[in-house]
Amino acid sequence: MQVLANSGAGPAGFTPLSSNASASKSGDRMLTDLSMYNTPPTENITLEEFERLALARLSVLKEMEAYKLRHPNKTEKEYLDKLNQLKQKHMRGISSSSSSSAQPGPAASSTSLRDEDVRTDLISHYVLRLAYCRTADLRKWFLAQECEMFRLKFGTYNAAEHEAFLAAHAPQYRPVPPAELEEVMDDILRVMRSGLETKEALQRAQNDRRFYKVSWTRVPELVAQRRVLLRGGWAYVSRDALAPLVVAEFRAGVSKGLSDMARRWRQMFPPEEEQRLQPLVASLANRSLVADYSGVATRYGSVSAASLPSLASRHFPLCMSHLMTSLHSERHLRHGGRQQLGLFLKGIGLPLEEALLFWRSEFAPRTPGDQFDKQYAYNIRHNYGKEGKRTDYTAHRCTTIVGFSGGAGDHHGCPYRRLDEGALRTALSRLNCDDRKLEEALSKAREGHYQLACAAAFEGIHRVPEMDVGISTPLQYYAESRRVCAEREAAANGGAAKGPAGAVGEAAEGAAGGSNTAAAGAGATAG
Amino acid sequence: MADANKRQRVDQDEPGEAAPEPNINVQEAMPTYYAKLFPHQHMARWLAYGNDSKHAQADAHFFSRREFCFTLDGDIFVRYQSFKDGAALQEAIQRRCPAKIDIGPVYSANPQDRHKFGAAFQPLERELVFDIDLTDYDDVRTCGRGGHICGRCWPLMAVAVKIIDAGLREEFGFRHILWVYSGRRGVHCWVCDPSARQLSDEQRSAIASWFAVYRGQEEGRARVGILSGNLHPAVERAAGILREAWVQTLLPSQRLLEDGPTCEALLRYLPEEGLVEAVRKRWAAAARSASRQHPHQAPQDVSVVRWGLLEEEVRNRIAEERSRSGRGTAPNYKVLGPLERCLDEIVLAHAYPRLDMEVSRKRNHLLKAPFCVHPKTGKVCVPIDPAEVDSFDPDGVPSVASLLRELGEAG
Repeated sequence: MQVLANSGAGPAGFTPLSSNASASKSGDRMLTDLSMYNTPPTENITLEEFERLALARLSVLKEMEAYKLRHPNKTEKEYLDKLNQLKQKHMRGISSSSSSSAQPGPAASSTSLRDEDVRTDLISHYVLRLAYCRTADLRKWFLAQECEMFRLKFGTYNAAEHEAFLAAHAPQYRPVPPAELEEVMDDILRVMRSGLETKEALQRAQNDRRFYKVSWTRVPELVAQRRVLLRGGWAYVSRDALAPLVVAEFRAGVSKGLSDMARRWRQMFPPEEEQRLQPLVASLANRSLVADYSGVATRYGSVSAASLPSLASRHFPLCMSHLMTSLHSERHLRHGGRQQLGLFLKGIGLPLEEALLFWRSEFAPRTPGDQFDKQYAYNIRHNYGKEGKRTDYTAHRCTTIVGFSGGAGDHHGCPYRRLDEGALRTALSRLNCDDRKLEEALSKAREGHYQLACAAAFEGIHRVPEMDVGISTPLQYYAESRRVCAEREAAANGGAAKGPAGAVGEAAEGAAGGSNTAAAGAGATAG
Repeated sequence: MADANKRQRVDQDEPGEAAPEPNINVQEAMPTYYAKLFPHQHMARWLAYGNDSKHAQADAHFFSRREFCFTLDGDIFVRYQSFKDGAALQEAIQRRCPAKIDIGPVYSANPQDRHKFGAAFQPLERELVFDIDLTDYDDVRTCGRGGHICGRCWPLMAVAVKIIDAGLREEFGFRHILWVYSGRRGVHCWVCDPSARQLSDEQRSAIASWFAVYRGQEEGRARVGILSGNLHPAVERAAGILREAWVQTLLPSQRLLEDGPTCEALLRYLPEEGLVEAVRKRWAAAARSASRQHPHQAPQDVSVVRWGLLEEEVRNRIAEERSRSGRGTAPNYKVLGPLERCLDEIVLAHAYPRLDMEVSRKRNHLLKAPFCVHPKTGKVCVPIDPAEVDSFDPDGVPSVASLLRELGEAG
């Protein structure tokens, strides 16, 4: 696949591989829905579309993963519906060809819609392969998500659709013709009985009557366990048993593609690409899928040291409110905690002077003023980019915070990881988290899905319905929290005219927030 | 050679064995054997698989990437031998007179250059091989142990060859199969189809598992890989062959049900104490009535008779258990299952082929070449025709001494 730079630099990048990337023109929806991704796309696209398609697919995969983790007990049909919904949301209409095409008649447009789907599917898959092939962890994640998606789709095909798909993409599985099936059916049933298959399975096999034969060399696990009928080197497999086999082949194919790609990385990115494609691909793996939350500072008005305690109890994620509580009780925080909280406070819009005021007053009982200036003030100023190399540091993201390690006296890091269940429970109840969501957060934390635990806690504290993804940065929690509260007030205030305002403490905020709400609302949908 | 003969005489019950071979040193006979009798050209033609000078599209280096291993006199093991062509192989064999020749895989490069390639030196092709050894049957044969082999335990080998051969052909579709006597107490099988030669280690392991109905010993009994009375068609086919051989040959020749430890061990496969008691009672009653029989009547073999009675008792018990469940209620499979399985389990445990799994699993396993001479017995590793395996006489296998004698007499 060759990629055109926006600034018209020479073509570089991938060696074009053999192609028959154009989907079969048969009108069958299902043929275009599923692919083994055996051949990469060969066309030129812009860098911008390259990135857009990749992010769209990444959103689908990540949100699907989050959905499955939050709802482990849904039926396959419900998962499939969610998958289609996500695809509709993220991947429809994003390809360049869709926007540039004219408005043809309905029949043609449905074909072109399908073609467009195929194209975006293929390109986005391969771009993500690039992004996720470099380390074993990334490969494992990508492989797991893609296989899950494939399995879900393949599993819902009916017999005719299976046959069509296999004929087109996996011809090594041949349907057994009816005459032959008559001959071997008895033996197939005997194989099933010898393997202690249930009566229902036997019944299904007899009713369905769709069997495939495949060379025994492709199913060594089944042969080793004597779970198939073998005749002349052919293994007879029922349609039920087929799905795991095809998924396994899909998995093997993508896995091989990934390792081949990793091996040939150097070939694919000659020195010219170092500044252009390579950073883009590298960042895809780390990209936060939600918008930057740095604008939150201006959106909700300035923050002062005095307002921090009330903000903390209502809008801060657990990591930050935990740090605030520890800071207040111990009158001290170690370096890790100071950094984590300090950068967050800067991110939500606490100005430098207010910050210095805040920290000094918190530290005051244990640290006299001049000692504070000597030991801690410099660092605070440095964080705001007023000292040293004057870098404007951004607040840490969740993935970084989860990775922080700390000793006994440290309070930084992600509390869902670091605190034990009792402490978590206390902390969340103090924040007024709804019981059911509290339990959900605890169970997610137990399983190691810290960001989903935080999301569950958010929903429990703010009594909102489920969010699509987990929290990816504390600033996101803060921004969402402010937005939800601002929307609630706007709804409350909008009903009542300019009478004595309902909520007391928010009156000032509400006025400021009211004018900001429209902007905030627009901003929030963009984010 | 002499001690091998002695061992054979001690192990066997019957007197009047085949006349002992003249005491010749096998190793001394090897030069003449390799000069006059070993089929060098046939071996080379086989192992080249057409990649020789006579064929246009040959891979000229194919033969030279095959590993041979020579075991020289004094147990000197020389691995990674390779040869440019059949003539070079012949010359080396005649010069060095190895006591044993093993054949290994065709590697990705000439084995003599293997150090240049490091991890890239890998086996590429190799026949699918099996090794069945009578020593693995020591717990179920009463005529001898260890290196012993005779006409009474050979039927175990015969039935193994028939089952595996049929399985390889009918189930896996292989066609080019060579069975070879291993020289002392077993057989080897070489599957030479191109598809067989290309199999990966995992696929070889799968075939070995397919045939692994016998799965080793546990607490004095064999573990048999069947889950229910309903057998897999492949296992049923094997069981059919075995049941026939069981009654006709194995029971009487091995005297399995005559009083003794083997009989006791066999009875342990019956799942219920009550059943064992019932069987013993039947046997005792039959013995009493037999002694009252006409003395001139030729007695039926006691093991066969006892087996018949045992079968009846088991089937009676099964019928009883089924009728107990009555109409409408499902039978108690926890009781019925073992009963339905036990007869097949006994036959399979005693006679189903016992493969050496390790030999088949890895492509780089070295296996003795056909037409080698066994250093202890002097017998030649001759091919066996699976259709005639029942009439193969392990005692009548040509030995290097007898062959040289024939040569000498022919002048």
